[in-house]
Amino acid sequence: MRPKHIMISILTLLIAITGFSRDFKVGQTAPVFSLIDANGKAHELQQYRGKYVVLEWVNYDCPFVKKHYDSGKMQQLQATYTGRDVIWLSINSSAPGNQGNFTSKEIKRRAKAHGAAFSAYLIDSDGKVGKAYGARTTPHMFIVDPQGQIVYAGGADNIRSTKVEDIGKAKNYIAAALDEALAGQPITNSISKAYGCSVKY
Amino acid sequence: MLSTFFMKDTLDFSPGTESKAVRQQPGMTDSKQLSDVTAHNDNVVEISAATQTFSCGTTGQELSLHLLSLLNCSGQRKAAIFRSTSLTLLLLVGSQLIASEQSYISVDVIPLTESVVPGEAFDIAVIFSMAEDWHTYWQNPGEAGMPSSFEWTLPDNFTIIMRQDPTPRRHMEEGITTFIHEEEAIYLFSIEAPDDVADTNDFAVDIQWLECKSLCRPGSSQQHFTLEKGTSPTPAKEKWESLLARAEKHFPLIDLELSGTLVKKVDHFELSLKPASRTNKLQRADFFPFDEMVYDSGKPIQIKHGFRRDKIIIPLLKETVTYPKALHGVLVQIHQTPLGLITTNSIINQPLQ
Repeated sequence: MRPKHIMISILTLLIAITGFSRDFKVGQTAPVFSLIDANGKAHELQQYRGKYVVLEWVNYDCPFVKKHYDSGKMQQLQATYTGRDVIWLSINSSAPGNQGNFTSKEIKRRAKAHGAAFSAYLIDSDGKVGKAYGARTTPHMFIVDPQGQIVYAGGADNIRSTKVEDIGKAKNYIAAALDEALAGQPITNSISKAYGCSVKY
Repeated sequence: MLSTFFMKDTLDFSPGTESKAVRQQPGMTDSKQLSDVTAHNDNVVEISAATQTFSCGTTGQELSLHLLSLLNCSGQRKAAIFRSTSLTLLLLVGSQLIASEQSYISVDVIPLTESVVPGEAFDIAVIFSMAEDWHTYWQNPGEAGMPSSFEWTLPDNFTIIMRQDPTPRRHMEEGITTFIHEEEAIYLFSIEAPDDVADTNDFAVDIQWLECKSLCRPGSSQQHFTLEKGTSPTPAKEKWESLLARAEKHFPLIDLELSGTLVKKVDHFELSLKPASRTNKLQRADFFPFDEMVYDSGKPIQIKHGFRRDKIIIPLLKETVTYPKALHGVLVQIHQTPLGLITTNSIINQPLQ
């Protein structure tokens, strides 16, 4: 086993022993992880130290996720903030056989069809990373600051619905939090109720 | 289940005629299966109407045989079969998608009056009927889901004075806890008429919900009805009484003067209650909070039995920024009594000590 693989295994083990976390708070250190993306490339949270990282729990077949993608809002956010040196990691924690667990080919097809502009789409089929973060819904959003602290946890916006027309009326918490953070200001809304489908662990 | 049933359908490609779908009837024992079949019937009609006419000796063959028949035909016939098969497969996929949009929840809106009396209130029942294993969400859905919403359009100066929701059930799936309604959920809206009422009064309600059974999809229903002006309240009808009896069985009682005390501990609220009697023992309890982002829905409610008091432990969410000054929600208490288990659902608003 190569050293890099050993490190990934250790990180995975660390996450595995934490179980389903319900007890972390904004301001705490983000659980480290290493996951493979749809191209088979490994991504470790720690490699992005020094940058803001958005973690977006996603399931393309969930009607709440569809709202954010059919409206083009999520892709717009991805493009805007990756263009400002933010790392955007979409993560799917659906177990094999459950809704949203796709092959790499299907992930790429859907991402292309959506015009997704994430930094990477990570596969968490055993759900260990999702559970370490306490991700309950799709979407469920987290922002990790350059020091590795969680500075936002919650929903994508403030209107709990599946209607595309609500996107324009909603306050987008991710855009607001990143704008404030990138301007060096404290985040006004650092926590909100995540809404959506349950993660299909 | 849908695809299993559907693939049992056989396609009858009779020479020179439009293809017809012939059903191999599966055993049907429950409402879920019946609703599946209804969806299929719609699909079958659509396929029959759209499939091309051709002939190549495929009478009465199943889809798989129909595909195999490509090997035994030639030239124009092959092309015709290929086109037909492709179209059939496309339609099968399409019809599956259509079937997937079939709602497993129906909603009825029933005015419990035949007319509107000036200055008087009347009730409207909204009834969700759910197929087996499907559910909708309570006003606080828990850790996922979406509450059902009701957007009323009322005549001028009519007001909703009360809404009653059924008590939910705690549902856990893959470690995620939600508060749900299953089978039947009856909501009751009390509407007060003004002193000045028109001869004809139009009411409309836009109902939105999320229906789930491992997968979720949004549902909606727009309903309207008209009530004429009346001079005296409509006498209660037997069918309404039956409906109200079913509804009231699940409505929580309003118990704002709970004889208990509430204190905040490090990570939970502790509600102390006097035992109802010496013979009734609190066996189980649950709590469904109106406030979101306060309580840890994923952790179980615990009971500690004491000599003078029973304590109900309600876990708080560590992510919460501010804690409420009262415990506000639906408290479910299940007592073991000499007569058996008795469940009490109450709306409480217990202030912190």
